[in-house]
Amino acid sequence: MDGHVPKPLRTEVLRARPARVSPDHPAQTETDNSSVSPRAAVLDREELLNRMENDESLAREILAMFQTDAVAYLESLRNAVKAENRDETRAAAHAFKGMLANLAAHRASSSAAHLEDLAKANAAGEFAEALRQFETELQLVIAEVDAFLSGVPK
Amino acid sequence: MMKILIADDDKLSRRLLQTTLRKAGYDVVAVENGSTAARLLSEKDGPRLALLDWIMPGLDGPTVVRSVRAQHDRPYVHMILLTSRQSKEDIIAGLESGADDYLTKPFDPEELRARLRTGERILLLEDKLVEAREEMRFKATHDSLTGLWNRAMIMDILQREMIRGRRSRETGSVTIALGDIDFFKKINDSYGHATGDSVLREVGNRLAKSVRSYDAVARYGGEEFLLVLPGCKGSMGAERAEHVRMLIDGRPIDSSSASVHVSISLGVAGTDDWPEVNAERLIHEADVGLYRAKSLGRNCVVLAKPAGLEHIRLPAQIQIPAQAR
Repeated sequence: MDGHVPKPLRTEVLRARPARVSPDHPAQTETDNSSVSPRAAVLDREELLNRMENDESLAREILAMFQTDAVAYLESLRNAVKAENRDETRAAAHAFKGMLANLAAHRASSSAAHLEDLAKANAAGEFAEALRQFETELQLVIAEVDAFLSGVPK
Repeated sequence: MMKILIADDDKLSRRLLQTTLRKAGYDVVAVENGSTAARLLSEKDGPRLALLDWIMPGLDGPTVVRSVRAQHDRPYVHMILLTSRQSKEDIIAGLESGADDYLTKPFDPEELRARLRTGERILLLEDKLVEAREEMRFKATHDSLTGLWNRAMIMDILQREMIRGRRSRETGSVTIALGDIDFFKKINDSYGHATGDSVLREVGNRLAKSVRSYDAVARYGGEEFLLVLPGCKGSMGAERAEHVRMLIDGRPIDSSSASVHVSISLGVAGTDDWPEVNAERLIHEADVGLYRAKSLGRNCVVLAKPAGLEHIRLPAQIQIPAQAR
């Protein structure tokens, strides 16, 4: 099974479709997003493998599943944010939070949690900026996942 | 293999749980929403262990728990909520919905297995309790030697049938037959108590086989048996008692030590003849009939009527043929 993993999602996909940041709400400083620790690993491989009980083929399967599903999830998150739809933003951010936590991608997971919290607090004005930050984290995760799947050592 | 249900809308999370649990030896059923989970958990022979995601579209975890708990006729299901939340109020709300436990996501495989083992221990305990309760219920209503209803239960049944019978005058007669094994003390004295017990059991068997599904048979006392025959008039009940008498008399009873010929005397009374009496009085009338049957020489049936006692003899054409005895 090793080495036969479809990788439909690439970082280019994300770059090609950047989040729209409203000019009315300029980018906020990183310190606002207190839940994201810049020190945390983008993808904690050790924790990830521990979670899979060192079953590398399962880790690969899960990561590939993530690469595939992230496209659609990101699409719905972007649409929800664009529409300033509180419930859908919350649901999509929640889904990302869980998925990323399972991958031991804690920074991106916290970033999604931040967006979920904003949606809970109905702070629609801050959605776009939080989404931009989240997409930055997500890109890093996807790059790490790509590296893992193509066998690049840490 | 223990069946377990996983309900999680996140495919990735579902896959992880599924793999971890399969490796741990569970028979895993994975679903992606709360309504399917609630339906499967409510099915007969459905999973009795469940991991339910807290937040799902449609029914969320606590709602699934509440709907499963609302069904009291199903065996207990051990339900664990999966949550990424960690605030105290949420955990309390989750447990108060009826969940047994909660687990925070992302889960630790070892912790997950340990929690499930706890769940299995609880289910085992639950099964033992249910089994003990059923056994107690059986013992409280049945005679331990014959497995027939006991005296207290047959009194309940008789009272219920008499009340029901009064509501429909046409078909509402209830007839009882009180039977007493003839010379039972002699059987015990000559063959011993083990044979005596075998005789009681076999008489009980034959009585139970002779009645319809809506009739009731009890061991009423030491060697006394009571048949409750709803929808049956006294005269018909007496004929059926005569059948019973022949079933006992017709074939000896084999115990491990001896083959014993046994007979039974029966007194019969029906509510068509005794419309205003209560259950105790009806039994008393049947007992008067039984007493007469004994004094007539035993191995016979006497129907008790207000006008007097009738010694019953079946017409020859409906007597049980010898080969069926």
